[in-house]
Amino acid sequence: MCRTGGRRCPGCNGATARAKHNERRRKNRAIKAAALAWARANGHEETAGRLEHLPPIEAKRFIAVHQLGEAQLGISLGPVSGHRGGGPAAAPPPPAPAGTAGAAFIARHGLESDVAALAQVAGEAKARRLVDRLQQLEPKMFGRMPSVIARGARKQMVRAAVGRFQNPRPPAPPPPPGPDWRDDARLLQQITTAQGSQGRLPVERLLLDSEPTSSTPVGGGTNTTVRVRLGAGQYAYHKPFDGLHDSLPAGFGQDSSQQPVHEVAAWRLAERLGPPWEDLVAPCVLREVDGKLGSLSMERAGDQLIRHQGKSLRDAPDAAFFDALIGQQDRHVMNALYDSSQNRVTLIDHGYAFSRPGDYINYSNFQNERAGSGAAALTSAERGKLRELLDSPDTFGLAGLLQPDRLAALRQRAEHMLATGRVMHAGTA
Amino acid sequence: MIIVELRTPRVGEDGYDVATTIRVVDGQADVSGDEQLVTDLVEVHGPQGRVSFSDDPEVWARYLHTAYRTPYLVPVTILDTETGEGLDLDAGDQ
Repeated sequence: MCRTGGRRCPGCNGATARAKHNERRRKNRAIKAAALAWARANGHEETAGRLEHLPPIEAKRFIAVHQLGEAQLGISLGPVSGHRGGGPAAAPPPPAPAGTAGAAFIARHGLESDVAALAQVAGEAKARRLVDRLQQLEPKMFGRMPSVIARGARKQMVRAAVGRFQNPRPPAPPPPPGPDWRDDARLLQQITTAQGSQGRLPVERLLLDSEPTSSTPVGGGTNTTVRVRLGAGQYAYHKPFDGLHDSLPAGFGQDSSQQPVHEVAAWRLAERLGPPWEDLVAPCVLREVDGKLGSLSMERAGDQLIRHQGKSLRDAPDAAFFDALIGQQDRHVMNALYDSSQNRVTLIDHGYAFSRPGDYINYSNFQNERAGSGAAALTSAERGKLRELLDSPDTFGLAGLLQPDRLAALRQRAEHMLATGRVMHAGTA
Repeated sequence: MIIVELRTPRVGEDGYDVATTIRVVDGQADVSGDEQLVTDLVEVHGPQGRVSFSDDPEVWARYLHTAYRTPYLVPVTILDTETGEGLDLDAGDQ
């Protein structure tokens, strides 16, 4: 309809034009009524309810999506005689933005108007892509939900996509450029210390000398870790210095670039303490993988510790002693493994350890459990090791490997345990 | 709505397996697979502070990567309508 002047422009205001207009309105109403009747008769009650209040164009889209013909609707869908200016009839509404399978999927789940809305704001291609994504997720996601929940979930997904295009969020500002770890002279000195002391043990030589046969990024997580295949059945995890910048370490009073160093330091300390502590920590070195320098830790077998909650674990007191000494900040039930075949605990993730007094402690389950139990008293072996550590000129190889204040804090914890004769609660020394 | 998978490595072999799938729709959580890996014993660091699964399963799932940080148990977001992750609307764009 023309928009000049009143409802119709002068050229469209004649009797003939009005008659044609009215004929089109009657035709469209009939098409809409036929579409509603078909929808109600074929299990699309909800859709019919929506179409009833929408313009006829939506009913025509519904007809196109379901590929309904005149035989099914019981009316003629032929062009209305004449049109504005006598030109050809308006083109039928475009088909649903998907192939035949996609159209059937849309119809089956009552997504017509939602997908049409997405096509309108984002274009046919993106609407088609979203329908493909919905179908991808169907077998293991929506198809597993109760049907009422699944129906709402599918719609929510399409509407979320519409929302993102209607109200596009500005891209997140890039994080402020942090210092490049390569420019950190103190960190480089720590790395030099680590590299100078590693490789004495066969397992460290294996980690250092093996040529990886594959390397696969491990998805998710706050750090970029790569799973490396060293040989038949042997895998290790590489945590490079590159790509470690995020806000989480700061909450623990940690510098993200220290995390690979802390992994190496934990192994170095455990190895120097000897059994049983050297069995608690996976061997770890600093080396390059795929041209990136980082920590490389041997993979260990075992389930997440939570699967063995309530069991009396042989290694629990030793793990408590170790975590108390290193000032563990985040030992929760997912940061330890238990291998029932060897009755062995493996402590994993030492990024948030070697804390200083006052640093935030999130969890230290082993330590706190022992400190609060009747087994907090140190054994003679533990006391002996603490004396050895404190008498060691380089604190069991940690001098120069840890930042000076973290080394001092570790020595302070060792002195505290010797003085009290007990494993203390986390954060109290 | 958010869907997160928890994946564990095949020790000694290539690949990861899906151990647990967490789906949260309108605040209602559905967990399939190893339900022990979804626990109130580990809180995450959300935008408003520490959150347990019982407090808010959607926020817990969204920020699970702050707590499950090791390569032995990896949270992978399959879909998050809040952040747009997993909608894959831009895949294939030049």
